[in-house]
Amino acid sequence: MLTFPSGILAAARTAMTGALFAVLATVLCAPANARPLDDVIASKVLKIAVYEDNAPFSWSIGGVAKGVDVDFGKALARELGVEAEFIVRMQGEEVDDDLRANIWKGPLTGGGVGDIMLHVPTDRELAMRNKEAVIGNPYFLETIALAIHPKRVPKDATFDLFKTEKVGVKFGTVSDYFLMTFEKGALINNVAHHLKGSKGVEEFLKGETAALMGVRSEIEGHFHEAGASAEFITPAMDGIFRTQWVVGTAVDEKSRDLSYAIGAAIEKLRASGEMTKIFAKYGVTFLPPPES
Amino acid sequence: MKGLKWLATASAFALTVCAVPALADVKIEDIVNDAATTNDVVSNGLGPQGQRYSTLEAINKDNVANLVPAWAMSLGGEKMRGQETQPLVRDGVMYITGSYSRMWAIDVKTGHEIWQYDHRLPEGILPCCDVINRGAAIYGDKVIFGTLDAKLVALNAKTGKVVWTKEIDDFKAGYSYTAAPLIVPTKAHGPLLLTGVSGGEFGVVGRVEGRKVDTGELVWSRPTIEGHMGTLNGKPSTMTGDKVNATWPGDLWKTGGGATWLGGTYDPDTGLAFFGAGNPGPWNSHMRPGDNKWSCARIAIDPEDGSIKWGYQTTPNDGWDFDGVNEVVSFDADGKKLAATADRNGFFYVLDRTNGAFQAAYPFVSKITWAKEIGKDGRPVYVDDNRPGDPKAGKDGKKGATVFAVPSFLGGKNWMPMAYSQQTKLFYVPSNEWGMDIWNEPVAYKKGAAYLGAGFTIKPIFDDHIGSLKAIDPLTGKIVWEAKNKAPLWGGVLTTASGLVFYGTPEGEFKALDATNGKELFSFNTGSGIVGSPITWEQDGEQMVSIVSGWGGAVPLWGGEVAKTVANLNQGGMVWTFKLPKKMAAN
Repeated sequence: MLTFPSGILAAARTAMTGALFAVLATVLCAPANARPLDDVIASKVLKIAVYEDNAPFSWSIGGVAKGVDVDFGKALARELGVEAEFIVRMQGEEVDDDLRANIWKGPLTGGGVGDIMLHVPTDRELAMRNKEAVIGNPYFLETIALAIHPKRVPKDATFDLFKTEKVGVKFGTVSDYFLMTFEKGALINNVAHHLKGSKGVEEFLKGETAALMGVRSEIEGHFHEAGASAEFITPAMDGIFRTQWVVGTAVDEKSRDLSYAIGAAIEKLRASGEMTKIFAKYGVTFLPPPES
Repeated sequence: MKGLKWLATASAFALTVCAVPALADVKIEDIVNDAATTNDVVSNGLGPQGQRYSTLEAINKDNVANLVPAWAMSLGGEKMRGQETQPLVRDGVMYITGSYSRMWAIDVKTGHEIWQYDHRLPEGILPCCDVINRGAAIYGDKVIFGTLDAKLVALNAKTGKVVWTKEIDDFKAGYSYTAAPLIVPTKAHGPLLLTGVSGGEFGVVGRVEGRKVDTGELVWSRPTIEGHMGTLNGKPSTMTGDKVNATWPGDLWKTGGGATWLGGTYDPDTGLAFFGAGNPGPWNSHMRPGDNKWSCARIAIDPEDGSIKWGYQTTPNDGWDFDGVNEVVSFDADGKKLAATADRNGFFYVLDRTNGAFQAAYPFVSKITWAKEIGKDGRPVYVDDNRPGDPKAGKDGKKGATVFAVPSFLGGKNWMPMAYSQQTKLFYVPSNEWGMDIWNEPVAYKKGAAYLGAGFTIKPIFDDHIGSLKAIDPLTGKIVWEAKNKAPLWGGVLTTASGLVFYGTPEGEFKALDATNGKELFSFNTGSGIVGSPITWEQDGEQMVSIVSGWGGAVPLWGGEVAKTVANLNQGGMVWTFKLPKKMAAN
């Protein structure tokens, strides 16, 4: 299974990649309830799809949505003059699956689509193969970095250090691939894998690892949650496939005017400094996307 | 007249409801001996060994063409899709599961519903591969099945009311359950309900669990991946494998995958339960040199304590997504206790089921590319050039070399169960002939973050067909006959002592073939694609055959050229039951 990495990827696992799934589903499925800007304004509600279990950006406790993306979504709705309503939804196998479930088709098990989805990578290939969605409005730059224990890892350290010191990393990520294949596997025995970011931070804070490599925002968020602060370094990472990527929003391709209005709102939130404040509340350094 | 007719129907319905309660409790002996008894079907596989073989002979090669529907029942509602179930029958009542975690009890004489259970599913859950269910288990006065939100639900067989519910795992983390549970006898704990797990976060380790049938209480748990500790009676028991990371680099065993999403079979002769484990993580096999046990493998578990008695790996160091979950079917030949399994990877394996010793493996689909053969030591002789390349070694340093691999990751055979005839000594394997372009990609996105990915494009190998039902001699590997089908096959097979093979096609035809030569003797259009498994049993002296029809499952999710073969199929949900007209049966 593809993802069925278990499957799953399991079952049916019969599984399939999101890309293929999306292509066919277009043909087979009834159109979703895409809402252009006028409908959103008339209904006085902006339905915002965010990820479950994606701290510091979004998660839910007792049905209440929390996190950076939730505060950001509320600010967007306010700028449009409407209320924010959140669909906090589990992830599919890949973002392609999430676009289908959250934006243009909805899950088979009901629950419907959002008007807008947050935290979608503004990756050209992703956008190309998901033509039912419009991906855009970059609002944050995700970067790969290493949180370090300064006594064990000098600021000018290179990855050679992890031939003798342990480094934590989330399983299956680009950082993981980089570490596991560094110098043909020279670091393998010192790479400590985890599935959840919170677990990686916990192991780091206990001193089980000298450094923690991964998405900077996620690491910052978990540190903040644990009442700690992180010191980061970004040594040269030759051969890694992505050291940074930009996240933005997605809407149904029939709701382009909504996407433009969201874009204008983001401009305002950045100019006023509100973006920086929202991120800071969760311990995350706001990094604006590079001007394109 | 109309009114009268309505009244007549209504009263007939009321009568059936009153007539039903002659239900006797299903005993563990009934399950163990299910293959030998013709008046009921109380296990998935028509016997826990999974042979799907019936000794009934009333419907035979001469009269099967005369089969007519006795009744049909719609599964109703707006949820008409993906009916992958196998019915159970006991004391004149049929139990079926349906899409969206639903279950029904049906009067087998009339086709009238006795009760329906609709599991309340949380909104917005995202099961990977359609909203299917593959069947229930029955024991005592309970019928038990798994749900898309990863729960086990035990219902009172008479009333359809919930007796107990247990969570296999957290659906919010992506878990679900779609396989038919397996009930096996144990001396230590009485009958146990055995299940695997499906779904779960990327990297989660698969496991098999044994529970008390009466309460759902967990007795033991057995992880599939080397280095993980099992539990027995709430305490740590034994570790899977001999050593923590004998076949994994670094600590990758911790996140090794090996999901057990297809459930298992049980062999009363050896007292072993056989389960399969899915692929290892991550995708890129270059990142995890080693065999990566027991991913892509079959394991034999002692149900008394959940220990592994033997394991056999079909695709060590998998790089093609060849899940090792396909069913293990026990059979005896040459005076030996054997077991066979037709793997995703395109090879049909024969093992000694007492110890897992490799006997033989034969290709059962055409043009396999990833391995030259399975060597005498039971290990694949890999074609190194057919392993998807490492992105780092790629020309542009971005994408690994693309290879065209056969079979595709959907397998020479997927979940749909094969059958073994004690009469012809042949296996009947629902196979598919397709390949895939596959490559390792440096970046896919999960939850908005960059991960390692893999890309696939599935392609047919032949112009005129993908599906192929094959009759295979397990002792020689000879393919005795083949029945081609345009669309990929996705439903199970049944065979009978009268020399018949029953199966359905995505095009909606329910067919009976001559077991010796594959000649088509009967075909009936059920109105929607068939992805379920047929059964047969004897009811009041008449042989009955049932199949649930209803297009869906993972098949319609495929793109590309494969999609063309299934693009115009309509969804559905209908139980069909056939028999011979009385005067025909008497002949």
